[in-house]
Amino acid sequence: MERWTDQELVEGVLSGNPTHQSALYRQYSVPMFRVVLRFARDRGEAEDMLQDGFIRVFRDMAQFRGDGALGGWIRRIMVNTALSHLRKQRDFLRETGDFSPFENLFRTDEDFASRMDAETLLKTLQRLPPGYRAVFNLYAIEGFSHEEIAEQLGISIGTSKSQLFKAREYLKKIIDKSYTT
Amino acid sequence: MTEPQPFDAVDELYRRTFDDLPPSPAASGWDTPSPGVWDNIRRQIPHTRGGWSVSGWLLTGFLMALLGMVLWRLLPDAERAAATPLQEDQAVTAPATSSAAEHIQASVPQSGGVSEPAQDEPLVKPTATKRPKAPKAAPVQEMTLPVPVPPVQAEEAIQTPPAAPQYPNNAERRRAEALKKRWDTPLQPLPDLLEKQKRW
Repeated sequence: MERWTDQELVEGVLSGNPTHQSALYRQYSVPMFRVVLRFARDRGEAEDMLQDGFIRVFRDMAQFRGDGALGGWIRRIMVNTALSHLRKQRDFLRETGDFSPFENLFRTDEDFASRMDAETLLKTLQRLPPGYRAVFNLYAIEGFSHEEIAEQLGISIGTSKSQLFKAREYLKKIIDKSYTT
Repeated sequence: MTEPQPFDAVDELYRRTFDDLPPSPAASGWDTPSPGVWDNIRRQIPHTRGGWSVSGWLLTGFLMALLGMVLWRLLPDAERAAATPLQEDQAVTAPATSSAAEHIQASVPQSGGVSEPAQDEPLVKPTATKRPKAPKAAPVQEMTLPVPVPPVQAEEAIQTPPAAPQYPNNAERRRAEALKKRWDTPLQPLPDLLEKQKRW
């Protein structure tokens, strides 16, 4: 697959060249799909996020100043698109006290241990409620602070901290279980 | 028996796992979006067309025809515009010739009513020729030179022979001079006629 530079892609997309548009999508669709998959509850929702995110990328390409990498700029758009999707959900910040996120995910402990890869971790993450998932993603993987998370999600800093704590508890429970076996 | 190490750093586990993923998609396809996603995106973004459609060709043909018609209509106008400087030249020289003629006519009646407009006409003719790039001031100076005759010397001006007509074309002038020279030489009688006269 031919690899284009960021500058070539940006110039081609700005001129409306279909070849460059397709190349940009091919070059960034997989890493960006991995990003939105962590925010979505399933693959279908992730594809909706990816589609809306790339439409925004093509529409707002003129705003890319070239200060940083194009991939970083696209990733920020993807995260913002995913958050706007989550905000539309009515139960986005619902406090779920008794959900069992990992039931029926793995038949045996051996099964879990052998599949401790990105896909497995993604599945555990997708079982979390949307609020927990969003806060954990933003804090643990994207590197946001609680102030930034509170601003992005329209919640208080305390809520952000509590959601992160609960998300960690659920995730740690299942991971510890795999190591004790 | 080693104590199992509890994985406290859940954040680190997730961050490391997702950051260290290879750039190529997984073989299982979990991180590859379906082809329909790009189809939907492509339909919603502006892009230039690679080829020419039928409507594009028709539009181009119509525009070319329209351009041709506009050029066809503008072409005579351009010729008229090119002729406009000639009229300006005439407008510039015409007052000069008329003033020169007025000077001549004004000076001649005072000298006793002798007027020869036929000889003065060639002076005006060169200015009437349509030469777009001819200098504007040159013909005017040529004509005005003989004109400024003071009215006091009008009688002397009458006695002087009229100036020879200045032909605008040298070829014409040479032909006229040749004709004039030919008529000046007397005709020689034919030799046969002389002999017949002697016989008779």
